[in-house]
Amino acid sequence: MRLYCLSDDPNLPCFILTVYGRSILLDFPLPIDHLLDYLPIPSPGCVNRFSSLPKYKLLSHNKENNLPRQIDELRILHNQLFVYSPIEFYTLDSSQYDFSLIDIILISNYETLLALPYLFKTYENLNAQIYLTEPTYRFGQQLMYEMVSYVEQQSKMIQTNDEWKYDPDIFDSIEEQQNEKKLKLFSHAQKLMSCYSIENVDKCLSHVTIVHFNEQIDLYSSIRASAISSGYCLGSCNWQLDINVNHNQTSKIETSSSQSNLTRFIYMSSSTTLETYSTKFSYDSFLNCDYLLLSNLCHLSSMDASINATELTAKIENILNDHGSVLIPCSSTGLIYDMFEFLTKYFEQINLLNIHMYFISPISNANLAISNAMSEWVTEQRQTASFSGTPPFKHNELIKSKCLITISSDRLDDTETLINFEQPSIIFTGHLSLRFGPVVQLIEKMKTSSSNGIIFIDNQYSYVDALKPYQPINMKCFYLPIDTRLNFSQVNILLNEKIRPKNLIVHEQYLNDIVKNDKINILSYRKYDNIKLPSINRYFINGQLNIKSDIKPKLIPTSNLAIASIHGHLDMCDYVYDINELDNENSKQNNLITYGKIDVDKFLINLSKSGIFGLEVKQLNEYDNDVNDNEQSNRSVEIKYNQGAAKIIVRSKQTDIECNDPSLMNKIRDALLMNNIGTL
Amino acid sequence: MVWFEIIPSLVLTAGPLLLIAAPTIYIGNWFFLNGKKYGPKNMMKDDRDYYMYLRDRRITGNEYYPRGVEAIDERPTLMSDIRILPLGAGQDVGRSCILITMGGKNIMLDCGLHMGFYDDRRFPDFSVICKDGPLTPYIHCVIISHFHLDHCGALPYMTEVVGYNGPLYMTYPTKAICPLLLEDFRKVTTDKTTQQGPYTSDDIKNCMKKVIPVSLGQTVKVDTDFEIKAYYAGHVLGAAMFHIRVGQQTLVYTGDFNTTADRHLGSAHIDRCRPDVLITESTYGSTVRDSRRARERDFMAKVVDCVRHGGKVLVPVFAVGRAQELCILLETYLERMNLNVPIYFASGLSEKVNTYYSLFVSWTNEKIQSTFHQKNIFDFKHIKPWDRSYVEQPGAMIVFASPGMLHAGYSLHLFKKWAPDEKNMIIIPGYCVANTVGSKLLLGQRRFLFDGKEIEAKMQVHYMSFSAHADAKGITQIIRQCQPSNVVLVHGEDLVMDFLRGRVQDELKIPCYKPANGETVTISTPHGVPVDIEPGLVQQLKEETADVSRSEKRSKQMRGTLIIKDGRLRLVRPSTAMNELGLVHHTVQFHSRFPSSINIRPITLVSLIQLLERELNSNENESKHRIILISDNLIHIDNQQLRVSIETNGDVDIAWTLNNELLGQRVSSHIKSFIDQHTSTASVIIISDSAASPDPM
Repeated sequence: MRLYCLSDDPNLPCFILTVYGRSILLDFPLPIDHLLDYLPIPSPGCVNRFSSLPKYKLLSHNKENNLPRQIDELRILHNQLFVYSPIEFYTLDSSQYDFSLIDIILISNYETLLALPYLFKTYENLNAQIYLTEPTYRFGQQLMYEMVSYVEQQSKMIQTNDEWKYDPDIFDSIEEQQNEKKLKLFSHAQKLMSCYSIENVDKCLSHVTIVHFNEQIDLYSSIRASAISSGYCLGSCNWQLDINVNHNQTSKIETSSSQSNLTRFIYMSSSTTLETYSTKFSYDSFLNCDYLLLSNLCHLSSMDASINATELTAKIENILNDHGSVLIPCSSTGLIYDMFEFLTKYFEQINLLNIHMYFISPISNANLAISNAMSEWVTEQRQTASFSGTPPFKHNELIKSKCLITISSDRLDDTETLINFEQPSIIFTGHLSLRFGPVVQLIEKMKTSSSNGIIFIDNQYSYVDALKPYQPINMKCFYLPIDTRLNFSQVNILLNEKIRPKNLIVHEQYLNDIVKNDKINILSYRKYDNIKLPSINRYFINGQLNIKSDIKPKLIPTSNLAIASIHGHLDMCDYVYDINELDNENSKQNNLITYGKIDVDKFLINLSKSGIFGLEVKQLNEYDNDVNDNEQSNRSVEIKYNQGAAKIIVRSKQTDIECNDPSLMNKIRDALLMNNIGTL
Repeated sequence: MVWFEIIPSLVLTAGPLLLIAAPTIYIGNWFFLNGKKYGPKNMMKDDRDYYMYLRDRRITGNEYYPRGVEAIDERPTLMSDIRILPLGAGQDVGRSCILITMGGKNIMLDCGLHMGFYDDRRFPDFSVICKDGPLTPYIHCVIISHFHLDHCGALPYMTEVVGYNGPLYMTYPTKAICPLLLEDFRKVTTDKTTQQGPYTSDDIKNCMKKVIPVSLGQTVKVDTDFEIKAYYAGHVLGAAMFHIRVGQQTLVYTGDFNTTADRHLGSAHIDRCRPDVLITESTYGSTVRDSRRARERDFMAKVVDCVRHGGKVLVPVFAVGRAQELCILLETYLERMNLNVPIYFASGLSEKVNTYYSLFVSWTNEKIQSTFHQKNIFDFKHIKPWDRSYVEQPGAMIVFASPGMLHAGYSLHLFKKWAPDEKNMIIIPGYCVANTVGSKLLLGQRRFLFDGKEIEAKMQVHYMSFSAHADAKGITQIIRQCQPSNVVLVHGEDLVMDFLRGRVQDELKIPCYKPANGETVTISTPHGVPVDIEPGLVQQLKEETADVSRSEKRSKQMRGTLIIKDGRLRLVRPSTAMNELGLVHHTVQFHSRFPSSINIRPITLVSLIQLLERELNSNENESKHRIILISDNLIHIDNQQLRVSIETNGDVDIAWTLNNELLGQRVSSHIKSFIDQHTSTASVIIISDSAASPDPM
């Protein structure tokens, strides 16, 4: 088993696990860390003040005319370099690995699959099955659509060419001239691709297989996967892989004991022990697993989400009392459902009436409809509601009472001024990076008034950097991240007191924060590491025994168990080891295994019982292994019968019977086996 | 297509019966139905004894998995059977309730009621399981396949009145919709004056609290080595087929299923799970239905025709299921045809029913799933809720009324009102259980007595099977998909089952059973006992057989030691077992020693090998022994199992261990006679060394 790590950011998990020559891709998220290097672009029909920004002047050394070359796509704002072009993305796949060989793709939640259309676009031969849960599929699809439509709006606004990306001079000279202005994006410049299209999305999603929590999926005969609820969002899961180490099959036979020949590999992504709206985090089957791959923990160590939540409500209340509006940039699904209900409840409490919450996104209506149809994926409490016929979320009620207003448009025109929004209002919209989507116009409009406020509840981006192109701004600005994912203190408790994995695989960034434990073997990875996972031996193969006749097991009271001798054929059929017992009684009787010591006195009595008299018994003073043991029974004894017709030498570990007469030999044998020596 | 041949052969076998209903083949079912007036057969004494036996087993705590040595002897017999006892739905439709016993677990599949009876016969006879007192100790698990009353109607009675607290499984939509239908049934059957009914509202609520919901595909662990898994069945929203595994025994219960997708649901699907037993419904086991499209066209043509003449169309349906399918059909049709006729939906259930469809969208068909977030197809524009005052309203109208079998409620009420007018029409779109007004109507009865008043039904009566049951083709398709070792038919008429059983046995070559109510079928399922094998044992065997032919490999014996501890079986090499148990191996070695006189003529081992080759390996039928010359004075036979050596004094010593007695005695007798012969004829015959055969190896 090998694990190939493709990402340098533990919050952007992407791995390839190879088992028995099968390649399993674990998650394929879309990196968006470079987005802050772009300039925001408003939607068509709005004033684009960024278009008039000064272009970056490249001092060309080798050109004949010494005029500085202007690069249209690089602009300078606040003495900082920005890229002025529609958003482009890079992906985590590397040329070191042929991705068309991937057999299986397992997805944890809708945040970690957004780059998949690129994968299926780049590798045409890729024919992998994508396994994900239904909410992951539906929300993932919508988020991809949203991304496509946002970027489409951008490209309507500006036309650019991407020649600059392939001109090495530019990067060299930028490095020379203004080292501090180097952009994060430059390191990926050549890899950047324009956003995928709806067709790409649909093509990719045609490979989807929808699974349910705890559904056992036989990937290949040797691997069984199941999605286990992780509690983070609707349909989010951790993947549990049961891999047969001894032979290439996962037996359908389950042993009653904990001993089975399956190795358990757990891939733990965003998980939370907090109770939100989704099905609870379940880790019962993770206990004592063999490998635990841990990723996507909370950035903020020991920050309690509930503290920020109370502060958030206080801030919102202040702004609203100040007759301002609140802008909350957020993702179009997930936390937002909690926010709606949490805020309405809070407003009711403090008796703040007529507050309007706006949810602006091209997929707002679809997402609300989908979330209400996912009644099998919510907490038990909400499930009970759906059993009595009410949707699990209160969106519909809120929309009816005009508390929540959805605007399912991918852009906001200038004509649609804030006056149209009924004050006081809270506006939820995207994109988080503040570089595209309706949020761009909204900031431009709202930033002038100091009574308005913007609250960042996500911690993916530095809010200072995100707001930089919009400076100067007057509006209030708060940073109250709500991250429900497990933090280090929770993870340490979970690892050391509950799960106790045999091998833990974490990013090296996490190493310092994970409490070390002798019993847990910790492996760390970096980008492009190819780790060989320590092999784990299982001492048993699962098989089945077909008994034809009765077995007569021998009870061994000292060790409280029973043993029986089995003779038969061992076959492998339909991936099951089958032992078919033989009918042949004869061969069974003769196939005895003898153990223990011979009680000479008893043997002599038995011999006399079967008519063998006149024995010469002689103690032998032979060299014996058990020198210290001077007991009579351990001594070697020679028994002679009828002047050497039979000679028996009894030693502590071996008995020799010398006899030429078969019938006499049988008699001696029976006497020896009768109530004396242990047989198996 | 094999199944199209069914119809002619059916006509041949059941020709006279079918001639009456020749134009519409499915009416044949109703004819069969009439022959079965009587209630279920009485329970057989054997079954009572069997359940008593099961109870005794529980008390002694002697469960199927070995906890000690005592258990092992009886385990093989106990494990190798699956027993199936229908308490209802055995050669009958309605009151589905099947008891199965596998691997020591008693499982109840469905717990339905019979619509055709109004007394206690409508419930399954729970006294078979236990004469009185709660059922919890005797039943390990109850599984409900879908929310139709003939599959879940007796559930509150069973859990609350008879008493059952064990696990109870149904799918999410079933759990949501089931209480509505139960409540509806309770209202209809509860006596208005005495307030006496089968169960109370609270019973239903308490019963539903015990339900554990399951999702499609989710593997639910009921107990150690006892799992259930739901597959999509398509019949109604939330209908599921259940795969049950206890130990190594597996069983699939289809419940009711439909293999053709309709306007709102998808088609049933199952993996190739190769169960030991498949229990399948067989409602339409002898028919092959025409395409759904043709049926829909036919339905619309009849409706439009009636409405154009100012008639009223009554469509008795159950509130959930067919109703939604027909509503979608009418809605889309009317929108296209621009027909302005009021459509009403009369049901004892609240409007809410349709909202369940949007809450459980993942259980509908793919088309609805992919578009539900844009448009909710279950928000009907043209279909209005019914009001009692509309009965007297003149003019054309279309009314969907529950229940579907005309045994009570709105549909019966409307039938009474509208039946005498020949302009009106009734279209029965689904199955009607025997004894209900619906089934009588379909069988041609036209005069009915209601509350002492005779009503003659002059209205047009049509039957159109929109029933979401698989037909003969669909049932075989499912059987082919999951490849069971045995098939058990339930939920169908006796004659239909006979026919289907013939097909399954002849064409699919699978043993097929059709137990009657109260009749136990015992199916033996040969399975081994799970055992943990030491890899070394397999490895050793592989090494031993690495360079031998296939046939020799097959005949190669394995010798292992079975260690039974704490209910776990391990098969290890004998030496491992000895080590583990701290036992010291004691070798018992036998010797035969024959003196030979050196002075005459020493015996050479080469000549002995020759002899043994001839004597031991000449017989074609026996397996060959490997005879190897190790040194000048030592021969090994079969890997040291037997040694022949010549001592310094010329004596021939043959040594073998206890396990090779037969071989040892054989070899020694051969050598003995050889030596005897040799000494007597030593002077005469000179054995030349050059005549010795080459080394056999």
